[in-house]
Amino acid sequence: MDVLKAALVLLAGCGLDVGAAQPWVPIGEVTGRLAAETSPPPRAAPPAPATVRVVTWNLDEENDPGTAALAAAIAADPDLAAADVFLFQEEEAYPSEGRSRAAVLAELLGVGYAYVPARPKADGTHGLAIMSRYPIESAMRMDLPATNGQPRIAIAADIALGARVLHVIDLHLETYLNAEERLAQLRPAVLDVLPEVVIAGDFNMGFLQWITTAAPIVSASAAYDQSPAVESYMGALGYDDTSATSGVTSHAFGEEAKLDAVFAHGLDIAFGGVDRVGPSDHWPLWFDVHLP
Amino acid sequence: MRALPLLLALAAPAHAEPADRPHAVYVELLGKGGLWGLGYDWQPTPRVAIGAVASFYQLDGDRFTTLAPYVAVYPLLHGRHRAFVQGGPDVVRRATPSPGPEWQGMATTAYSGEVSVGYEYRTAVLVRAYAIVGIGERVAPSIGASLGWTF
Repeated sequence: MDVLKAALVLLAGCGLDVGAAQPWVPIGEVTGRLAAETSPPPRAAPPAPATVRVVTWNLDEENDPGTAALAAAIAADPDLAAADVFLFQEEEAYPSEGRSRAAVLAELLGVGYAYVPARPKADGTHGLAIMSRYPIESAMRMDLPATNGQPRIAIAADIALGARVLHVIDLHLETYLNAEERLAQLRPAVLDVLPEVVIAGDFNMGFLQWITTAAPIVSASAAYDQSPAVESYMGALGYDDTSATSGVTSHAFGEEAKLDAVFAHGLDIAFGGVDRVGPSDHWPLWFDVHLP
Repeated sequence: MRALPLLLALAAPAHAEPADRPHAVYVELLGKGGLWGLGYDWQPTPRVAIGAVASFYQLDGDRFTTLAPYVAVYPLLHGRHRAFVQGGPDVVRRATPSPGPEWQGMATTAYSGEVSVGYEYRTAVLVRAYAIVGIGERVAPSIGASLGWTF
């Protein structure tokens, strides 16, 4: 079928092929295998800070880099160790391991967490996690429009910072998408622009174009880079491109690329950087949200 | 300047005559044109060709238009069998439509270069297989193949 599809593409191209948008739903509404797992911070929340440090990182738990190694990388990096909130992608859980890897990582970091599976994987699950020194409230999930790849989700939550909240959205888009489909998958999670919000995660906005999930087109041309389209789209919606100067954020298969990003609206944010640490094939991005 | 004598030597015909079938028209797959391309080249001498590949295709709404002119030299000629080196710029225009009314879509045009090394079988039929290194925003290796005819 891949060969047939490629032949058809040669002759006529192919159209947009993504599923319908789904609403945000409280994570507690999903039961069964994809039920979310949550735990409050182990210690009383510190006083409301003037600045909140946020980290977004694709942990690559898919390839099992080791939860302890991930935690050690965070602890050893002063930029990351000072974080109050973590937005993680590619977190996983397996019954045979006793506890979810999110639970283990949160314990090592001394934070609370919400782990939200996006899909089953083997006898476990694969998904996103928000971790925080402050309480995580009103957590929601959105099943992003289906594509020819894996099921993808976005999760949203309010980080309770004393008398105010920081609304965050953590997401992970499909790899095997070209730009218009990527935007179509992203759109439902970002179209409703909240007064104050941070959106971060793995946008997978690489430089490969996909004929099928098994057949990429490789080019040196900057025209193949999908990040300008994502950044332009988010800019049109009114989001600030917080990570505009981040440079590359991943190093899979010997190739560095900018796959991850941070966007925000209505907030005073200083982008920190991309720290080249840890066992994942992505590097963590960190930034500071200055609260009025 | 040291390269000039070599280039002149390569450009000089092995015999005084031009190539017997100096024109070639071909379709390539995964070559200079990206997914596919339609190419033409002309050999003023058996050891040199100039040509271009053009393509247009659409992937999930994104439309790609490519033009890639090139110069080729043939350092090895053995009857119908030849080895070639091609090099030249390419220009790619990508147009991404919007998934909704909130954005206008965008178009990007970018320039890069490519060098390819490969094998050519040339009679009335033209067959090429080659490795490409693209040089632009990144260095990107790939492979391509062409099939066409000469006249």
